[in-house]
Amino acid sequence: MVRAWSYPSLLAGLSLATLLAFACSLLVGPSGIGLGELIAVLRSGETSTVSLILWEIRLPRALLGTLIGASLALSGASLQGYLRNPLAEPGIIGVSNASALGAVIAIYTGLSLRYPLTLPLFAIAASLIAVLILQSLAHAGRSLTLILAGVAISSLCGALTSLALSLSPNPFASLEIVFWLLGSITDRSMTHLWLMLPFTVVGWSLLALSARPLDALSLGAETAISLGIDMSRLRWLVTLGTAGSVGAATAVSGVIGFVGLVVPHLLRPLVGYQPSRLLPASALGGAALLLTADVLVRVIATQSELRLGVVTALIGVPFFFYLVTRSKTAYIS
Amino acid sequence: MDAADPIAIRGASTARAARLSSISMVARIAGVALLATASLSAFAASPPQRIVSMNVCTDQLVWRIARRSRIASLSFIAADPRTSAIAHEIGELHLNHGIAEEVLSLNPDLIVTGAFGFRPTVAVLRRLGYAVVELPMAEQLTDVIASIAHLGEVLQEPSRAEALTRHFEQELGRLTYGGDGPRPLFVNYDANGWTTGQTGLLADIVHRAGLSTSGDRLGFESSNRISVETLLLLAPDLVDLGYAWDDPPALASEQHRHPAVRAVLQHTPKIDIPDSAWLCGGPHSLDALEQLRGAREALVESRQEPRW
Repeated sequence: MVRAWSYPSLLAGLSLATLLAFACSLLVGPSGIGLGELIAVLRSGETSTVSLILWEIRLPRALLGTLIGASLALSGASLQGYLRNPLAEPGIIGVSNASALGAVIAIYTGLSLRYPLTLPLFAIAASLIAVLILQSLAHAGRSLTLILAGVAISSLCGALTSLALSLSPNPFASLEIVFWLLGSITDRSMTHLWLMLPFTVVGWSLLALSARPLDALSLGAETAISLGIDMSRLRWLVTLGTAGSVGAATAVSGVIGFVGLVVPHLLRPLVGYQPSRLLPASALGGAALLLTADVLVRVIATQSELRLGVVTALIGVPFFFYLVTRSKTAYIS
Repeated sequence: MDAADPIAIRGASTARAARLSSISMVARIAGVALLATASLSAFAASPPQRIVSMNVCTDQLVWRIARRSRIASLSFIAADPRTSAIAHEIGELHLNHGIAEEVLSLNPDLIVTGAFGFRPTVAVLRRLGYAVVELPMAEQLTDVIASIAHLGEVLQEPSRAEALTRHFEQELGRLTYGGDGPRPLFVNYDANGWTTGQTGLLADIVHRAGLSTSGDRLGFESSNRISVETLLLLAPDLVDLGYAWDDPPALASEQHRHPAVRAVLQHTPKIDIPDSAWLCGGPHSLDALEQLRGAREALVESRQEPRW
């Protein structure tokens, strides 16, 4: 199933898809403001309802979709490479749910109102704990152990999130379980973007540094060590990179599943199963997928807006089934 | 205004429960006259002495109509000033949480609740032979009159109910806007972005105040959630952000902190109607109506060339 795509043209194609989805995200909304009006606003530079909608509502939403989608897919690709397990994905192995739990604790105790930075920091700390637990198990056992442990962490954190929100005396808190477990970037603002951006940048940088060592690791741990790869350094790069980017993303958007699973799997054959090439391609693909899902959320008319996690699962799972049934051989990069 | 919904009594104090409940189902369809007969036969002749109310809306009506000495318990929400208009009056009254076991231990001779929620509890209480009165949710202010009359009957306090009704009707007439002048847009942007539609109690109050609702502009019937973007496009003339519900914190009022919402609110007149005034239909709903009516008059006066 490897097609003859040259790597630069693949990246160019994915960038184009991301740009298109980004543009759609700016153009689609309940108000039905068209391209013409938006361009007029850009030209005049005056403050009006349309300019407020563009700059304060749609732009932060599109930027968040890009960053969060990229973070999830990038972490998925690097986790899969490092753990050499095709099912390793922030959502499945519980990192996303742990982040959500951290964010929930920061918000509902009132800490994040006083110190906004506690929101991403708590989420990152919780996801770090989850990744560390998983890695200790991954080293001890086989790949099945890892997934089972991930499912356990994921369920536990989901349950604790529900518990924390149900315990809150605020009558609205329990309704917000849906947001935390299914995700949404509706009506977020630039404040959220600035809050997550530094952690996202650091997380991405760490994951980028893991690209070359992951290439070596794909030949097997012993070969990698003989090639001079510092395994404990690689371990920390992947751990901190995933915790930082997924934690920051989830603190703002809640848990969004499947992006980190589907995107690397789709792209892996196209980059010749090479992790260092898979990472940038996955980041772009994840951004494009999440932006598209977030446009669909707005287009599909429902009583109240659909949750992002619902759409990513609806898009992601059939693709995944297709991939699983097509390739009977284990595909591990 | 249409006639108020017939109020059904679907309960009885004896083993006749099942039969009576089917009678009252028929009565619901047949109309109020038949119903009155059913309700008279369902309750004993002596006035109830241990009244328990399980719903914050019925709490407030029971409190105004029954004598205090006869009220055994109200719901715990009745003591929450955010949602109940009588929170500061009820003092040390026993408060229940609408759980069957708890209600039974109070040994009530009449249980009043809303025809909304508590379904399993009501079913259990009925099966055990307790008299349960369910009042429908007020869909418009005139429904309150029917509920007061009905409660006056089952609580056997006709004169107190009559006095309350008279006052309510008078005030309703005085406060209702009857002109065909402008109807400025009033948007309540509550927690999680909920706002009023074309129908329902809130919409009725807003309409009577001479204002229009988000639902009137956007064409949705019952309450609905709107995004920040839609709020901006509505360009409301008057805004009520509702109770923030941020202590203890939750995301429910996150939208209120959105920079775009703040930018709009800077230039829009605001009003703060306490939830307790219009969450339930009752005499206190008139306070919400009065506040809105006053705001409307001020708005219309302040605009030489109205936008609407």
